[in-house]
Amino acid sequence: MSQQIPGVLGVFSHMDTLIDAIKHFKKNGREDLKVFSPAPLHDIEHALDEKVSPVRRFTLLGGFLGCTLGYVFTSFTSLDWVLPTSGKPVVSPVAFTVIAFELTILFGSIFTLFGIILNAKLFRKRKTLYDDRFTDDKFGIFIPCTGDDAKVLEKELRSQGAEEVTHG
Amino acid sequence: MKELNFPYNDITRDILKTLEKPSTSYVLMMACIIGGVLLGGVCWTIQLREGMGVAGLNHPVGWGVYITDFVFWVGIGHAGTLISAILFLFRARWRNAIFRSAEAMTIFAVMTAGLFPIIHVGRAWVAWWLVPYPNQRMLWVNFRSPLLWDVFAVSTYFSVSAIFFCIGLIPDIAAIRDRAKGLRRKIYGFLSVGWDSSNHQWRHYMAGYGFFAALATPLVLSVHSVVSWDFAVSIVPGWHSTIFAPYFVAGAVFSGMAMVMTILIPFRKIFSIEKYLTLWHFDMMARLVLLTSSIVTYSYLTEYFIAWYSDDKFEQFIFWERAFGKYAIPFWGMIFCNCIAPLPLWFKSIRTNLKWVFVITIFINIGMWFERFNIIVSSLAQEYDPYAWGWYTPSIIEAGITLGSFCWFFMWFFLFIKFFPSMALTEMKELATPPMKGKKLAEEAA
Repeated sequence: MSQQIPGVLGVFSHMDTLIDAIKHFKKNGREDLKVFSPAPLHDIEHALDEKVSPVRRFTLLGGFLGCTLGYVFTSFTSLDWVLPTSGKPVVSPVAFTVIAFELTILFGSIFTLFGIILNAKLFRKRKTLYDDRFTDDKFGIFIPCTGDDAKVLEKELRSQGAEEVTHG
Repeated sequence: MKELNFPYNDITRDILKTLEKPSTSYVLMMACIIGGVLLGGVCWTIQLREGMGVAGLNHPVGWGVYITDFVFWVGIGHAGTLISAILFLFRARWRNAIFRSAEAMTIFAVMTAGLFPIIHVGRAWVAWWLVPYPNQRMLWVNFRSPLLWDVFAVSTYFSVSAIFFCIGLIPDIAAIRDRAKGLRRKIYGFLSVGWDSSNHQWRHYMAGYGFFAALATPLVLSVHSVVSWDFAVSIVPGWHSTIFAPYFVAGAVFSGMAMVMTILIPFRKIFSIEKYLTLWHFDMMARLVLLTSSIVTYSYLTEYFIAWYSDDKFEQFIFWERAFGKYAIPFWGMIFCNCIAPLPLWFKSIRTNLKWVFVITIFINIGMWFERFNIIVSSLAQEYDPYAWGWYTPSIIEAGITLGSFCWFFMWFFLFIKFFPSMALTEMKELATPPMKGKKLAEEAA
C-alpha cells in the first residue's frame, strides 16, 4: 500500500500565471514544488531552475560497458575456439569494432532507459494529488504540507492565480 | 509555422479522434490486409514443408528476392529514425507532426525485415544459431563475418528504435488514460507506467530523450552501412565497392521518406487532420527526397565511372550486363523511378500537389526495390567464370511471401493508428503557444 503524500494542489489555466506562482513560492524558500504541465516547456524549466538530470551518467556507463563487452566478448570467443579464416588474425580488432560499436549503442540505450525509469520514478503508484487535465491543457502546482499550512498555502495559491485548489 | 499554433485542448481532441471506433472501410481494409498476411504465411509454410526448391534460388544465385526484401525493409525503416532522431537534434520543427508515424513505420519495417533472413535460411527452426551463446558444440559464431555484424546491427537497431518509440509514447498514452473510462482507462493506465506530467518526470525524460536521439543517429548510419558490407566485403564484381555504405544509407533514407509520404498522404485525408499535416510538411519531405535522389543518382554514375576507370574487366562486364543484359528491365526501371521520376519535385507546385507527390513516391518505392534486386541478382548471376553463370527468376512462392510482407507491415501500422496517437500530442503542443493570460507574453512566445 503506497502512502499518499498530504498537500495542496493548485490548478492553473495559464503558463505565465503558473511561472509567477513558481517564482513566488521559490522566493519564499519552497523547493519541494511539483509542477504539472501538458508538455515540457522551457519557461517552466527556467523558473524551476533544477539541476541537470543524472540520466547522462547512466548513458555513459552503459556506453562504456557495451564497448568493453563488445571487444572482450568477441576476442574471448575467437580465442576459445580458434577458427582461422582467410589468413586473418584470430583476434581482429577492426572487425570487432563493428560489434563493439553496436553494443555501445545498445547498452547506452538500455542504461538510459533504466536511468529514466529510476530517476523519473516510473512504474510506481502516484502518491500526490493529480488532475486529469494536466495531460490536456491545464497546469498545476502541488505543495506537500499538513494541517494549518494547508490553509495558508491554499490562500497563497489562490492569490497567485490558481483557479481551483484541492487538499489531499 | 503560425498555422500550426492551435489551442492545447484542440490538439488533444483532434489527435485522439483518430482512436475512435473504426469505420467499415477500415475493417474491410484490415480484412484484405490480413488475407495478404495469410497468403504469405501459406507460401512460407509450403517452403518449410517442401524445402528451398520451391523458391527460385539455385546455384549461382543464392541470394534473390528474400535478401532484396530484407534490404528494402531495413531501408524503409531509416526515414523514421532520421525524422525522429536526426531532425530532433537539428531542431527541425516540421518533424513534430510526422515523426510518430515515421517511427512506427521504422519499428514495423524492421520487424518485417527481420523475418527475411529467417525465411531465407530455409531451416527457420535453427535460425537462432546466428546468436552467440555457450553451446554443446563448443563452437562460437564468426565475428569477422559481415553477416554476423548484420545480426548485431539489425537487432540493435530494432531494440533501440523500439525503446525510443515506446519512451516517446508514454506521455501520449497518459493523455489517452486521462480521457478514457472503465477498462480502457485501466489498460492505458497500465501502459502509461505511472506518468503524471510533472517536472520530476519531464526533467529526466527530456534528458534521456536527447540521449536516445544522440545514440540513434550514429546507429541509423551504421545499420545500412553494415547491411551494405554484406555485399561490399565480398569480392563479387559489382559489390566490392567502398562507396556502398554512404550509397546504401542515402538510398535507405530516400526509400524511407518516400514510404512515409505514401502512407501519410491518404492518412491525413482519412482522419481529416489536414490542419496538422500541412502542405508545408510534404514540401519539406519532398525536398529531402529530392536531395537523396540526387545522392543516389550520383552514386549510380560513380559506380559506372569507377568500373570504367578501374580497367577491371569483370567489373566493366557486370555493369555493361546490368544495363543491357538479361536484367536490363529492373535496371532501367530503377533508373527511371529513382533518378528521373523525382525530378519534377524541383518545382514547388509539384511538391505541394499531393496527387503528384503520391504517384512519385510510389515510383520511388518500386525503384528502390528494383535497385536492391539489380545489385544482388545481376552480380551473382554472372560472376567470374562463364561456366558457372546461371539465371534467376523469382518463383510464385517468393512473390507470395513478398506480398505477405507488405501486408504484414501495413497490418501493424493500421493496428497502431487505432490504438495509439499517430501524431505526438506533446510535441504538437510544444509547437503551439502555451495558454497565456498576459497578451504581451503570448506575443513574445509566438
